[in-house]
Amino acid sequence: MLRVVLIALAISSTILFAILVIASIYPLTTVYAIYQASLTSPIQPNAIAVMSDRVCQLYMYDINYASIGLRISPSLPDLYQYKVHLSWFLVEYGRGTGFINLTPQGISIQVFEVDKGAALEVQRMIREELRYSNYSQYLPIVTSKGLENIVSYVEKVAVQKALCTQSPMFMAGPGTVHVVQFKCNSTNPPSNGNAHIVEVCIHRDIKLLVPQGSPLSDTRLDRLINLVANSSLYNISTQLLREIVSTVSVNMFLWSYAQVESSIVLQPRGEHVLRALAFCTAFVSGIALHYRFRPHEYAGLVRFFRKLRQKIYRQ
Amino acid sequence: MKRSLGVDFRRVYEHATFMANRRFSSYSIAIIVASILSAVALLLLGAGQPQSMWLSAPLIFSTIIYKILISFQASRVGRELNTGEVQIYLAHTVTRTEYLLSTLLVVGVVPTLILLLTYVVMVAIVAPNTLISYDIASQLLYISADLMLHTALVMTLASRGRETATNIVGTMLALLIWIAIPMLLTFSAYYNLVGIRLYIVYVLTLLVSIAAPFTYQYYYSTMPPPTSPPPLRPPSPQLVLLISIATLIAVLIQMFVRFKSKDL
Repeated sequence: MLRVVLIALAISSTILFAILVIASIYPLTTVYAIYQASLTSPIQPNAIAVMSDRVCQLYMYDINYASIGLRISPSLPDLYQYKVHLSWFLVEYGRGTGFINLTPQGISIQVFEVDKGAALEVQRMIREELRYSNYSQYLPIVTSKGLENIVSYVEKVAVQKALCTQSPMFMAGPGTVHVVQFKCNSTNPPSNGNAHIVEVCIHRDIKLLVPQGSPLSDTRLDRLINLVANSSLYNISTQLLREIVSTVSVNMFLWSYAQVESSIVLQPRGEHVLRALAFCTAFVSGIALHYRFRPHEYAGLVRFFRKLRQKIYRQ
Repeated sequence: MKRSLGVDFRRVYEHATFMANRRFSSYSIAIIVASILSAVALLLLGAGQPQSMWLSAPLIFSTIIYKILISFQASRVGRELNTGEVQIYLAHTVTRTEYLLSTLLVVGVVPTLILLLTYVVMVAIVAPNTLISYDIASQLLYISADLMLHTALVMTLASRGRETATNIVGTMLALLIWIAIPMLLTFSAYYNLVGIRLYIVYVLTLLVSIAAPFTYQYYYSTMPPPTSPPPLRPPSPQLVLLISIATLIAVLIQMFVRFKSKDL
């Protein structure tokens, strides 16, 4: 009876040992999932500036996609490795009333990945610029020089820059663009914990669509921002100012989502294989020991091996 | 050890060893198939689930295979009774109690022990830090009760000389309970049953789950919570386990009593 138990354990540990050896040579993907996940909810710009021929906006968000995706046991044995890979991400801009006569050439984007330290420094620089320029309490307007300084700093400290291509625009109506979408790829997948800094520049003479009955007559983007920045100079009423700010900010949302591939890979370590080998050896030794004391229980097996040996010998 | 309550345990062990060695080939096949299935299922499907599920799911397959093995072994006992082979053993070698004890050892205890040890070894290799945990201990208890009750049920049939019935009933029980339990659980948890139907489904669930507490515990814990609580919750796995153990003891006692007074 002990023989049956010992042989059973030897067989099962040998099978497990074989699987672990195979899996350590060729890692097996046990679970694989591909899904789209939000990198950030719609966000407003951290800084806006009217440049020579464009209106540029700077956005920042933390990259965090590790916690989303496959449901993982908190006590997942170290036999399995959880791998997450971000293949590409989409950046979308707009979502408000819409831009009139915006062409693909009228908008450009730059996406930089920076580490946490650099991201904090950029935040500090933006705060400094906002305090220095002190244009508006409603929109984060900074000087063109200030924004250029920030962008050149970002270019210097960026870990990598993503390559973005514009997808066909989502139209709100004839001649009106509702959302502009960019598909971005980077050489290395973005690292969790880093931050994305996105600069969106839109041609300054692009107009914003306003609902009928709006008190706004001129909706050119640069002029609206200029009005907000110099509201006290132009003596603009609070109500009109709020109207302008809401028209501008509703069209300046940016959000990003990514295609994430996550998988759980069976990748045994040396210690797993060694443990299986140790159990195998222990049970085989147990069989040998048992055979030493009760050889008559193995008579059938001994006979089988003898016949096998004889057959091989004859051939 | 030699003799207690009129039973010579050395003789029991020797007779059990003799029977186990005779049936070694069927053991080997079941062990190899179950080991391959358990190892592959544990390794490939295990990840991404809560720990208790990671441990339970592959074991369901193993318990089915071992239950079929148990039924097959029990039916051979039935054959020994039908052909009169048992009289040779009972004439000189062992008493009736010793014969039944050794048979139970070979038919039920050894496969259960093999499954439990295989499982413990597998966990010790794959995740040794989880070896001493409530999860593992409770799994072992549920598996033992599951397989031993199956043994007792099929041995009751076998000890009455019903060889074919043992085989068929045992195999069907192993295969059908696996399907019946989730169906009954779904009925009792998600269907808005009222009145007599509610109690019929509850009693049916309890009866079926008693025969397979481990399978029931697995489905019970994986079942998503119903949107509205049912008027009568399905029986808890702990209750099922307790009733299973009580039933096991009762079935074993009646089997011993009947076999002792059986006219061979």
